[in-house]
Amino acid sequence: MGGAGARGGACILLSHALLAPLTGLALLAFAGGVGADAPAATEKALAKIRSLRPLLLDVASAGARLVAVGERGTVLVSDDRGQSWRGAQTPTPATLTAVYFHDARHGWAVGHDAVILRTQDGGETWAIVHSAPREEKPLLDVWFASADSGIAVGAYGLAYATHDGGRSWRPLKVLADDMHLNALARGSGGRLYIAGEAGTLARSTDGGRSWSRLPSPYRGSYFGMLALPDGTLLLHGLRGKIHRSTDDGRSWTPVESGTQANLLGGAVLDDGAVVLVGYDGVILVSRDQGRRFALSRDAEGKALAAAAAAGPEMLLLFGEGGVTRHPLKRP
Amino acid sequence: MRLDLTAVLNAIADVVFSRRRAWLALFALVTAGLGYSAGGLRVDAAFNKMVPLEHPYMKVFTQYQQTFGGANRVIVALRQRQGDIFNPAFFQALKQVTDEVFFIPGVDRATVTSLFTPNTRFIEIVEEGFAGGNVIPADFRGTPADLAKVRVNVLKSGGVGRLVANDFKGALVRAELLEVDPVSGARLDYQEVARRLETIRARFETGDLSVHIVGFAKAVGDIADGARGVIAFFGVAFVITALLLYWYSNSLRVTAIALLCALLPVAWLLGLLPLLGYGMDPMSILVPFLIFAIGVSHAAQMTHAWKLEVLAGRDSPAAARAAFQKLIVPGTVALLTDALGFLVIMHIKIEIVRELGVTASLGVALMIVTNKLLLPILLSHASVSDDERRRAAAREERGRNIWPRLARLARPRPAALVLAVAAAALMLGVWKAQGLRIGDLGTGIPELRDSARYNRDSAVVTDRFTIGVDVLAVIAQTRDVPGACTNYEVMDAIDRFEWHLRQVDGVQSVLALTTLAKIIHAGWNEGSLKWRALPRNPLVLAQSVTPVDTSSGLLNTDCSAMQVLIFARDHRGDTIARIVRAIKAFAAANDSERLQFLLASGNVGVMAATNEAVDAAEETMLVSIFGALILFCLVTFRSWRAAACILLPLVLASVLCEALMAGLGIGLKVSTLPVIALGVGIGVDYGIYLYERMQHELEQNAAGLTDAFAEALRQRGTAVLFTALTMSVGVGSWAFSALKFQADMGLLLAFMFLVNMLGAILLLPALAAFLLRPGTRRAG
Repeated sequence: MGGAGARGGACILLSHALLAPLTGLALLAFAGGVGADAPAATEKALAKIRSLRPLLLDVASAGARLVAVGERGTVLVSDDRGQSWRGAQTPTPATLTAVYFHDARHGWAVGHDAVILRTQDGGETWAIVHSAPREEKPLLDVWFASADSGIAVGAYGLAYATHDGGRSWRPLKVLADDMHLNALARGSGGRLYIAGEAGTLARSTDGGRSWSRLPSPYRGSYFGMLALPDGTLLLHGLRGKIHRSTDDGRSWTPVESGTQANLLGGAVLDDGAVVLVGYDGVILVSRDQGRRFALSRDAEGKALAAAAAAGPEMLLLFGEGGVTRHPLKRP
Repeated sequence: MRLDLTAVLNAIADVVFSRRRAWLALFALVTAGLGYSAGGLRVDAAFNKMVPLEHPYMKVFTQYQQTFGGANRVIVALRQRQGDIFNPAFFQALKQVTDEVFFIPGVDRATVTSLFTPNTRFIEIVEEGFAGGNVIPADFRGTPADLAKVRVNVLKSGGVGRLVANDFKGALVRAELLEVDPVSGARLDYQEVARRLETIRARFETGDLSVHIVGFAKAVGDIADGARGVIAFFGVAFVITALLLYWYSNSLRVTAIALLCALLPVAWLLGLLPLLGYGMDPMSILVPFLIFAIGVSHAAQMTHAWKLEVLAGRDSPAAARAAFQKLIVPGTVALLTDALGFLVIMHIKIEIVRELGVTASLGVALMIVTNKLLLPILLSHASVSDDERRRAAAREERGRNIWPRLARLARPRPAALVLAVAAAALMLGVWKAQGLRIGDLGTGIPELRDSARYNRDSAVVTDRFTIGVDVLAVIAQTRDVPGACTNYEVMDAIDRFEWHLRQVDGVQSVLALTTLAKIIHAGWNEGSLKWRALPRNPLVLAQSVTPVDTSSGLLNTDCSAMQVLIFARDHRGDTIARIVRAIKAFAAANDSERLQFLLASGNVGVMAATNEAVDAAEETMLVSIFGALILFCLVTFRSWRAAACILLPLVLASVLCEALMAGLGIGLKVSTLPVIALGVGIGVDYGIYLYERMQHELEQNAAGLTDAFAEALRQRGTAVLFTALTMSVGVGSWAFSALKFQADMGLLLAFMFLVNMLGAILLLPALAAFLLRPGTRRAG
């Protein structure tokens, strides 16, 4: 009797979208064909990003645009400081761990399977320029000195350098051991730093060609390093550890964080405030160049990997729960 | 042929009426015996009965039920009314509730999970590697320091959303139930489980704490409680029927006789069920009433026929014998048709529908005895006073004016109008019936009202916890892959599956072995989120998988099966269908010889199977029941025209019923599936009674169509009209029931009674006017 044809809803479109062979494309399937004249579809795509909540691991500014990367090749872009996000096309299902933009158009992302992606249109489209799944090593951070020269570092001492904008990459030897190289940072005077596993700390004064080990104040791992505009260096890592240096890494003083949660990522905001984020939704904010931090927690308590400013009084947090917004209290 | 039949009927009547006392004694004896047996009738609810066990999903479900547990989960959530859970009183209550749940008979104790159970652990990363422990340490005393420690451990354990509410204002205890006790083999007593759960609520719900309980067992308990109210509604319907019957018959004695004969098959049925090894399921509680309704319909026919004979001047016994001879054929045909119709729905492979088929057809079959034998015998003993005779005659006189007017519908011109209206109604019905949906349309369970405690509890649990109560489990089954858990290809496929499903609208979260393996892999790398991916190296992968125990329900001992748990936002029919489509699409693109994604387990998996079975069953059922009716009409009346006249109005009524269901937001599911079959079963009586008399007039008395139909209406129409109105009022009163399911049924059945009646007295003659034109009549 009547009705068999129409039963079960009409979400065939959705399941087609999900069939996209590259899973990272699934987000795009909705957002891709959508212009400003189709607000309903845009809303649907946004709702999808909200409900999917992919693991996001890093964020970078491409001019006014924000580009976040993460789980299974996900790249999300926002042109309104994080109010809305849409998926960008990526050619890999590998999880992306870091992203860097030299200017509004030129950017690079790295991740698992030692994959390196390059964009020349501000993150809209990406091309694979390097991939080495057999190495079984992920790349963990990427940094460029110019539109041509850059460095990518990763697990077990893995590192690559490029001088042709990322078209080709050559192995780079940083230190003699094979500890994980977790993060790259550029301090004052063009000095480059690498922080990593088990207190690994290295510095280069020649733009990354040669590296020397720095004495480490901590035997645990560092997940990141922030270089403040005034030359202050901040290391953050395992179990809430923060170390601060004002002499280009020669000596370090511990900073009390008030938490034992791993501090995974951080950002220096336009107004000079320093933000560190980590496990259990921990958010640390310093307004005195990292001497003291105020501790607060994101309501959901999910692990956070990166942060960016959504405006003068609003933080964007990236991590286990996708993107979330968190009000930033004025001092 | 006709003469032979008359002779046979005479012979039967002789047998019946010559030994009236012997028959009465026999009936009394049977009633006493079955009445005694009915005392042993038990309420019989079971999860497996509601489930299409032969559906492919259910094969997977059954195959892995031992390994991964089933879908029969109960959740007891405690919620702090003010502030959060981190206070000593809350933790004390949670511990006690955990213990209480643990000791409920039927609970699979290994599956009891809460913050206090030893299967809830946390892992953290320290400089030296991993450290872990129970979320609530053994030396927990409830001090502020202890509570602070537990708060941190909860975060580390990943229990937020699973065991602790997302807003930290509640925590839950969950457990699986065993349908059959593995030691004693005894069936689970759902009522008892529900009662025990309710005592937990009574004990722990205070001004500070609220208790929310969900799960099939609790739902069944609440439905059974509501079903007790059903008996009151039966009482109301019975009284209404009795009053109207008295008004109709003008005789207390006849009213009592008719009611007795309508109730007896119900009593006999209730007595027979325990003897046949059946119980009464709360979901089938309407069947006895339907039997009663059909009984009243036939009793009204018989008493009316008897009254007409009395008015024609016969004494009671002669009138009873004449009524018996007139009605035994159409009445028995109608009842046998009903019985056959109910029997054919038995091939739907859902136990509860089968039970319904058995009980309904048995009840109708019993009615042949009570109605066609007992009723005329009792009527033959009823004396009629002159006063009663006069009043009845006056009433008949009034009817005499109405029926010929109605019968004019059998003339071509009015008939064309009626047919046009019916065609329009049919088209509207078909159009509206497109909106009929399979499965549940609300978020709670549709058997209970939205405001029912159970549905409010269910909303609380779904809102406050990430896992919700609606789980669809998919089994990733490998073949000839040694150590599949450490095979990157296999694990990556499962990881992709998880990612694929997380993007489906309606999926709240997904939990698979890969989910945990990625977290553990990151753990081996000091908890850096950047390592939350599956390692390609088999040794490293093994390192990430081995910490996951089989008790997680995510893998079996040799990794030949891994379970992916998909937590759905709700269990609406279209949500389930959408998720299932996404799963099937992924499986179609990714299944291989070595790895297959199999549907389904979990309560939503069961619902998915049930919805699909119901979808398939609906058509089969309607085809079967109408097939049976067509066959019977053809055999009885030896004319396809007769079958068309009787059945087309029923088709219209069925379509309109579906349209009404769509309009009212009543989904098609196991409990609502039989309503059309039952409605059709009742409606076909009207048509058969009327048509039989009309055919008789046409053939025996060579009357014109209009006159023949007027005579049919005079003899049979009163009873049809009376029955339909009486039953509609009776079932209409169910709208006030605490069970939404019953309220819906009442509405739908009242609708079916009325529309079937209108179809029989309006549409049937109009169809006859075109199908039985002079000259074609006999050739048919």
